[in-house]
Amino acid sequence: MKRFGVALGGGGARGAAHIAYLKAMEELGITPCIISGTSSGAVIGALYAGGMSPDDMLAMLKNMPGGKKSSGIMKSIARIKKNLMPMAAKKMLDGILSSKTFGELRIPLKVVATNVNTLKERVFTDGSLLDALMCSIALPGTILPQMYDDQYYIDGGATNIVPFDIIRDECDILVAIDVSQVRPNTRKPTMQTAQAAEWAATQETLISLKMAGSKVDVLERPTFEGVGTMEFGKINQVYKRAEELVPDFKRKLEKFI
Amino acid sequence: MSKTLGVAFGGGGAEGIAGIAYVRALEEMGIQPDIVSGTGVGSVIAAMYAAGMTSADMIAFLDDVNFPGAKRPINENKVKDSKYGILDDMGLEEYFQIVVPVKIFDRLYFPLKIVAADYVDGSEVVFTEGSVGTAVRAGVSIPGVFSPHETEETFYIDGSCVNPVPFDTIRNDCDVLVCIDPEIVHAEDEPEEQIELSLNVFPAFKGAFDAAKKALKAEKRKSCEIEVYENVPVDIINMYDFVQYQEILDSQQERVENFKSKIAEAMS
Repeated sequence: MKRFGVALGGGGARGAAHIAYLKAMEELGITPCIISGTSSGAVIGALYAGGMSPDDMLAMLKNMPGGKKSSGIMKSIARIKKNLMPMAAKKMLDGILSSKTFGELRIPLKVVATNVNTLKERVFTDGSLLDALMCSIALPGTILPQMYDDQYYIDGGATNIVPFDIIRDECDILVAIDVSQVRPNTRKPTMQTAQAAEWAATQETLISLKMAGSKVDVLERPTFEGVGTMEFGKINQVYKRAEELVPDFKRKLEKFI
Repeated sequence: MSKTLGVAFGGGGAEGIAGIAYVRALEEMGIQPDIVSGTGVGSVIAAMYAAGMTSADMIAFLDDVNFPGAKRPINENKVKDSKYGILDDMGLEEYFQIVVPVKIFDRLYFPLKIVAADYVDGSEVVFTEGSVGTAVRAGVSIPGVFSPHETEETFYIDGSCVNPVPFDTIRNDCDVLVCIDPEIVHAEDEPEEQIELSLNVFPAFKGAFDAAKKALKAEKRKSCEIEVYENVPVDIINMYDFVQYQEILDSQQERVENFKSKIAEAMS
């Protein structure tokens, strides 16, 4: 029996796509032996590893408060100043997580965050699941850096947006889902879009370098036109698009079963 | 036969100025590189170096540049408010053509590779021929400082987002590979200050970007052997803090002595 590992990447609202991919794996009778996740990928991974079915996840996300309207990054920035976003996120996560620690999970999970003090990646594998997830999703501009063991953490996306390399040795078939999709459009760049382009280029280079070092058996990089990272109101649109892409993903997986 | 030397200059912003202190160290040792590469501010230093300018010439260039904001460090809010970049209208390309004595790659004293990134597809672009001024303008297009460099085909941005210290571009061109990797450090930062900083969104994004570049460098180093890797901590306010160039250079004095002995050992 081949052991499957799944790496779920960060990408805010686009992380809803992971649900469709996990469902596709279930339909093929595949249960991963290990899951890694960054940011929204870590949240989906934690829910799945805790035993929640993809259908239940989707239903829950659709009913999430604030899940109906979209919010731009500037609005989020205004809210973070009042500390509303992190509090809401923590409360919401606490409410939906059935497992409180890594040890209670059905499937081993690795959660990635970035230490702001050392600027290095940290992989959480034990202790409080909620605290690790809060670190992993602390995207600058939306959630304050989170304190853990006297160090501050921000979103794992800064150092490992699709954390496949950290589970390479723990599975035979490695599946990675990258929903980072950060490439800006090509009209005359302004400073902001140029900075977005820098960020995108760094992420893409990092992913390709990591791929050179660890073989990924199935890599999916779905794109979602017009879905910004913080546009949680577009979760349905993301999921529908992912459903269109899933048959092809299944065909690729079938070769490994 | 003596060993050949290659030097890669990193430094996405003002911290890259520290590279001049290491150019001076090599001068003092009577060593000239056989090839150099650079990106960001490192591309300016590498290009000046390959064009025959000494460290003193480079400092004279900095003295001559009339930094906006005069003697005060550049405020990040000013950067945030500028549409294309704070130094955008300075005509850098033309200026560079005037200051640097050699205009085309073919005529340089030793080979030069300048790394930029393509704004449209995010790929790494290595300039090795044509106009030095154009290559430097592309390589130093640090978003927030200069607008992306526009050509007929695409726009270029500072290459430090894809290759912060472009050592791999010259690995096969030299026996001894030396990397100058300046990074901004704030030794005195307390966690409380960090969280205060992070409330202001801009530095938090910067922190995320610095972390990403650090991860990138670590990943690249896994597949490239390097003889001398010089981590160069630079204590300045931010990457736009060009006015503190003298302080940046002075702060390297002790490190430079250590660097010299490493070079002497590697070259022997």
